[in-house]
Amino acid sequence: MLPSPFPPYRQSSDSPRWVPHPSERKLLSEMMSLLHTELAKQLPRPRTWLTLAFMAFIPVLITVAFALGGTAHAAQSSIANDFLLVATKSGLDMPLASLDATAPFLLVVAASLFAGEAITAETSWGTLRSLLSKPVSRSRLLASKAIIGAGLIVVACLAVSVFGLVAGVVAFGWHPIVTPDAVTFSQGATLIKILIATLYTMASLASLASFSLFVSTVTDSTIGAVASGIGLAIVSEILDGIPALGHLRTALPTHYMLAWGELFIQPPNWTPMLIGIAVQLPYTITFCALAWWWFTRKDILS
Amino acid sequence: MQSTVQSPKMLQALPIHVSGLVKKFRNGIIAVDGLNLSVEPGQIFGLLGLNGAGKTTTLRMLLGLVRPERGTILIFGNPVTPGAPVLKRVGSLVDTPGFIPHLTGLQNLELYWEAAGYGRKSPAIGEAVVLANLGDAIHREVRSYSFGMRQRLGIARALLGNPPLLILDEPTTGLDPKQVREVRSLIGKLAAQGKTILLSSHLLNEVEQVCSHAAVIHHGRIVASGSLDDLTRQSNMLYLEVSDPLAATSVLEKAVGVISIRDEGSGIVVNLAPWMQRETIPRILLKANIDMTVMMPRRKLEEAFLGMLEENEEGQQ
Repeated sequence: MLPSPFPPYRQSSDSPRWVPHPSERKLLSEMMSLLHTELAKQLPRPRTWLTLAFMAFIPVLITVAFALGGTAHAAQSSIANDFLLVATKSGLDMPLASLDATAPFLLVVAASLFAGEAITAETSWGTLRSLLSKPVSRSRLLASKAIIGAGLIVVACLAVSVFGLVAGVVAFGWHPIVTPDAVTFSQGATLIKILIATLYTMASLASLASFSLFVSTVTDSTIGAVASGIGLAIVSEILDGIPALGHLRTALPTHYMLAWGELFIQPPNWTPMLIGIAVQLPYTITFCALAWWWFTRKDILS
Repeated sequence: MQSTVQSPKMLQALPIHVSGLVKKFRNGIIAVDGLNLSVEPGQIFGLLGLNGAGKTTTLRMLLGLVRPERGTILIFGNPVTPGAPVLKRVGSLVDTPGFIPHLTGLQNLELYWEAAGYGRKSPAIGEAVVLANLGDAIHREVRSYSFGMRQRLGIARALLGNPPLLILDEPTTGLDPKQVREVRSLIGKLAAQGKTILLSSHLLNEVEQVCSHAAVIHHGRIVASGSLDDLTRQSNMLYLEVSDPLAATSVLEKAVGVISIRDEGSGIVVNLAPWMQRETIPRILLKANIDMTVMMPRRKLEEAFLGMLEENEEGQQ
């Protein structure tokens, strides 16, 4: 009898299940080890806790300021800024007002710090040379640092929203929000929009953080790497303030930073947020690719 | 040392084999210029050179930290690239040992070992802790450590996993005399266990006390290499006691084949070109009516080292 050209019928017990190849398992295990060690290095650092505590403190401070001083009356420049006008109407306004107040500078500083210290901290401690003199993949080391840095940026953004929410509800109550355009949103709908606004803020920091990450692979100076992200944000905001640049401004990394405000019109306008993410992507991919290219070819001299 | 054609099997047995290594930095400085080096199993090999001679750059290239422009680096027969698997078999201490300051000595060892791809709770950690001999300080934050304590922890980290090859860059720098003695005795013990040790130093007495073999590196090139006996024998130096040292210096300076003369108070040390016959010296002095009471060869490593550097400089001119 001739052998069948077809593979034997696969029994249900043989259902295709992904079983990692030993080399994949090794790679996965190495990556997990690097992530764990990176987390174990970053979590006990005073600078991590101080930064996160500061990001949690700012919404509380803003809430106290509003509770003491009442609502602002000055003209605002974006829909997101409008939440500073209505912040005392409901506690649910407060995380939005806090995101609006912190995203253009304080969250930029936090993101630049967490990303910019990725490699420079190891260089300044003198641990990079000992680590890389073992069979440690530079690509995986950089990836683990980028992932933990991104995780800390996520926590910083969450700290602003969560502490803003808690402080706002304690100070001004759990009410539906009413925008300055007199559109009312229920508490449930607002919570979802707060979550989306927070996630969008995290995404809008990606280009600045990845720029700091790239600079941290080039320089040995932590201050230089951190300042590079902040500097890029400042330059972007200055250029964004020049109307003569016209549509070119829409390609700036900070132009759409507060685009989540468009969620609070009726019906919500998603287009600016989608463009904002589309603008972030090429910057982030380019800076991350440059960081990888440089770091994997760099001579470790310090 | 001259590079010779060797079979793959021979190269596999060689802990270190380097040929034609060149490193030119972006600022145009050539740190290593055609370096050839072979270190055989069980040797304690000293890499001697002045500051800036290219020792540390060479060691960094051996560890995959710095990419060479040209040349081959083989460790146990395997090419070295950044993160190469063969680096598992190498323990190293390059430059001053760096640690994460807000973590304890023990946590530093554990995280290093885990990041290097081994388990966090490996028995190797316990052995390294014993070796570091830091007592309860191993549970203290590294930021509170003295330089000597960091150095000991650095050596312990280099020995994690009992690697057969150790690369140590100036391992006794910054240690007090007692600690220097401990480290030297540890190096001796490790060599007795069959480990191969490549040690860079600019301290000649250290190399003389610790190493079995050495190479002299100058301007990024190996100018001499071999056992310590061979190296000291290579030098053509004479110690002379004469009636008039000033006149003797003046006469000998003009003689062909005399590279340099140094006054040592009780006598003078004359560095001769390798081809120069020592017997020529008394004849020159006799002709100048200078009495010579003592003439003996100098075989100290320091003399040999300085002589080799002078010869090399003269050769380049």
